[in-house]
Amino acid sequence: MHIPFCRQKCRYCDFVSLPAGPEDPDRHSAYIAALKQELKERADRFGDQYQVDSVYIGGGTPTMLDVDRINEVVEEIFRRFSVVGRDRLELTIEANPESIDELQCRRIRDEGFNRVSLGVQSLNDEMLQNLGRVHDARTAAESFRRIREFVTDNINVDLMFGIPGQTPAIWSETLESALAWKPAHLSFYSLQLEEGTPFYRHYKSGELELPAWEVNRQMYHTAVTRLRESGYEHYEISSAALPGKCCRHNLKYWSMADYLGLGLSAHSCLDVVRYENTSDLDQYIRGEYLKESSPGSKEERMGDYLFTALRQIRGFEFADFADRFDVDFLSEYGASAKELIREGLLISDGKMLRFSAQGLDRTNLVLSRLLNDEGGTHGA
Amino acid sequence: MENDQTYIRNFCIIAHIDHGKSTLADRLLEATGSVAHRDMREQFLDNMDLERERGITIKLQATRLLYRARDGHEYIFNLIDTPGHVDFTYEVSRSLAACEGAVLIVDATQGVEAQTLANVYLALEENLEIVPVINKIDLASARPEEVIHEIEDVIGIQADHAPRISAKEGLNIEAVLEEIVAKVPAPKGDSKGKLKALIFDSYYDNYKGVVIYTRVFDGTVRVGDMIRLMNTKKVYEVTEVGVSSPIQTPVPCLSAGSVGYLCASIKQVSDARVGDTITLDKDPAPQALHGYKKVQPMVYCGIYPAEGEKYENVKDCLEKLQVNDAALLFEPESSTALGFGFRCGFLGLLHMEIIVERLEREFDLEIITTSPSVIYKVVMNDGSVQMIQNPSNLPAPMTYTHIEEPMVKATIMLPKDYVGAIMELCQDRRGVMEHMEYLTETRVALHYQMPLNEVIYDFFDALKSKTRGYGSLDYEFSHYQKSQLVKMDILLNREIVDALSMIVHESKAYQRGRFVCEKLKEVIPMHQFEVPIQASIGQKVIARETVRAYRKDVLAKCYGGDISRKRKLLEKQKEGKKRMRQFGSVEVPQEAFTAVLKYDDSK
Repeated sequence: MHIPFCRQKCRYCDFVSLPAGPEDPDRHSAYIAALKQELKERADRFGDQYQVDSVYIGGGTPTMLDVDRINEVVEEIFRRFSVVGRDRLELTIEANPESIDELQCRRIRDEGFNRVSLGVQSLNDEMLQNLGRVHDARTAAESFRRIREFVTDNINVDLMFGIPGQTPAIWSETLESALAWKPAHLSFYSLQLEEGTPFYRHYKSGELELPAWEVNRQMYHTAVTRLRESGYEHYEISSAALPGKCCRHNLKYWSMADYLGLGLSAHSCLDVVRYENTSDLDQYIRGEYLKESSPGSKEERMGDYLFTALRQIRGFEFADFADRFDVDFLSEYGASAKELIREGLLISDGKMLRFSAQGLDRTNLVLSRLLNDEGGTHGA
Repeated sequence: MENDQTYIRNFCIIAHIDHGKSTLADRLLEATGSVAHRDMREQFLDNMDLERERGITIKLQATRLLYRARDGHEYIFNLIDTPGHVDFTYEVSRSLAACEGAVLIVDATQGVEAQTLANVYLALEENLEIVPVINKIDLASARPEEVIHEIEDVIGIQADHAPRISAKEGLNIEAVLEEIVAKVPAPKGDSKGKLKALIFDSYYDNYKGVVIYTRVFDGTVRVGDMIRLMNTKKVYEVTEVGVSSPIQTPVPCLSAGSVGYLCASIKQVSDARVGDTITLDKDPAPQALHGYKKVQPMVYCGIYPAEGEKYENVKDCLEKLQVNDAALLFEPESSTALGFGFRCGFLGLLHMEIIVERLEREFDLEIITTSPSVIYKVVMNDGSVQMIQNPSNLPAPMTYTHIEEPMVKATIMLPKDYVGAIMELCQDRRGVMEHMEYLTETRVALHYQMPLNEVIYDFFDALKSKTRGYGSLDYEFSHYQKSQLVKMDILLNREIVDALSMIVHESKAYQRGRFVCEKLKEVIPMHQFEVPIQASIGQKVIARETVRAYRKDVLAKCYGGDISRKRKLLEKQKEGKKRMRQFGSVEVPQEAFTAVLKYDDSK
């Protein structure tokens, strides 16, 4: 579920989010009302086919909203859908360090949230400033402790590398500080320049510098090494978790399970049909939430599968692919896969396929070659 | 109705854009009861959407109005509408030739403009009686007395009796009608003489074929007559004659002094060219009417199908437009960068913009247009001459002695406060001032000799911008002049993109080269590698910019279910992608081709 409000837009962000202060309660209420309406319509249509075992409230900054409003929607989910028992339910909320105080923590816990994803990004104030984030390192540390004390210890920490001005030493420092907190889960990902963002423009015009590509990859591999040494399992390209603390919600995406996305610009995949919601807030509030839906072709679904399954470090098994699509992976993608294996970008033992460490530095290239069949036999 | 020529008045309305020509035409129609109110669109005579949007008339129309004058007689008024833009001077002159008089509208707040003056001169050349009318007197800023003096000073005609009207408010319209009766001479043709009728407009109709608008000077034309078009020498049988009032109504014949339409199963408007003379095949007039000219395009550009658009579609649509536009010329050409397309010739920049816009809007085509070019005269070493309108076809520098470029006489009229800025602009565009005159205390006319290639680039936009819209421009071809011209190429990632090549004056090459490189740098997205953008003359690089590399080798954090979007990115199906052109390994958005032509206020 997407809550598209932020105190201010970060300079690298191209997600749908709107700067709206807490002084904008009307828009928040209207949005929550529209969310509940969408929820009702979706439940009427799909409610009896599914049992919900994971709810993820993301953003934007969900904790920007009054917690009561979030809870209102969560209650609505319980009312409209069949939900597994509380002990089996993963109920996650994203929070930004600047927007979560003790009272909010308590109320989140009371509502039953048992996982929090904290947008720390960096523990270096200069880096945070460079990113245009509104919090500082101390606030981040305090909010982490607060969440652990008042909500749960099942916390994910988001960290970003490849930030303008960041050196490997600065990154390592941030990483070590975060590891010292022993979060259950850690996401670490590279800053990406997206067209249309201030960062893209500034970099293109030469006003902004980024760490060199090689340095960026060095930061990635440092993180992988240090996380493993610290007892974390690196289970997805940019995710690592303590044993048993993998994010169940994200695993659903990687494993092609059905999911329902609610809210502005949310995506869903239900019974092989993909839905995309509008990214126009006024339209959404008017109740015209759906932008388009398409039952993906088999090729598209196979593409989606590879695209997502390969994000898992363990990769996927050919047998699983064959079960799902009734198609032999190797006869469909064999030529390009073999070439990529030969180049050391993918690894296979004949039963499964996964990225090599080298391949993890070139994921876009590898996937686009695999899917677009440059040199393969698979027709577009 | 009295059919005697004594009671016929053939006239047109001339005015600057926005001075109220179409509104007055509507009022005249209304006042003479020629159009039922419910049928009346806001401006009846301008019936193409594009015209209505831009507030200018492109195609000519002729309408017959009946007016019972104060003298008790009923008059036939033939109102011939004229286009109001410099590109259509020839067409204007032919519709003026069909009239005995011209109603000259001048905006009481703006005064005489360059186009008004240009059209008045055309009308005087055709010996038309000018009937001045002062419009927009309802506006607070109206200064009718001043404008009347301006007309008398600048044009040299009496204007103290000019009706002061508001076409918008319908004020004083009858005075205009009475002035037309009183001042416009009646036609004096010989209806028994040999047929001489002037074609002043034509359009294609799916059922009737080409419909010709004509003014009969001598003789009579009837259904069943075999007619001959004296310049194209083609012969047709007349299937229908009639008048537009403004609904087309067939009549048995059109005779001397009349204005009406004529159909003769003609397939293309280019076969019934404006200015041609209609006569009877069996009893032809000895001489055609004067003033006929062949189509002479002044501006050329390439029109190419955009990615995903079919060549055949573009061809079909150009053919459809040509059926109705004798001034549009095109022939196939190919570009290394853009593939197969067409080289198209236009009367001027506005004509080009109109055609491009119609292709995009009416026909929903995705096209790329290349930089407009004029026709250069290249004098080869052996003395022969090549006419070049595509920069890519310019022969190698060693093979010719020099290049000549078309020059125009440009008249710019503007408030005196802007004279300095515009003289600077003209100088920057290699203009040579011939003289400057004060039309009134506040209004000035500048007369320049300018290279057409500077005028078609972005001169008009710059003029408008620098005079806050008050400057007006008129130009006509003058002569060819030897000039230090060079071909400038644009290279992306070290490869020439032929569609971006242009011919520029040597003194302007550095400036243009820098400008084009900067613009391209803005619009070309970052690639995995550096993309150098260079402007060069021959082997010499004169400007360079670089689009930084940005390696996007790894996947971003993948958010909630946003998988298909990311997958589509990888499958290169991103929205807008089809608007990209691939040049070697460089992707160039289509807007790049127009971005390099746009006037930039900041420079």
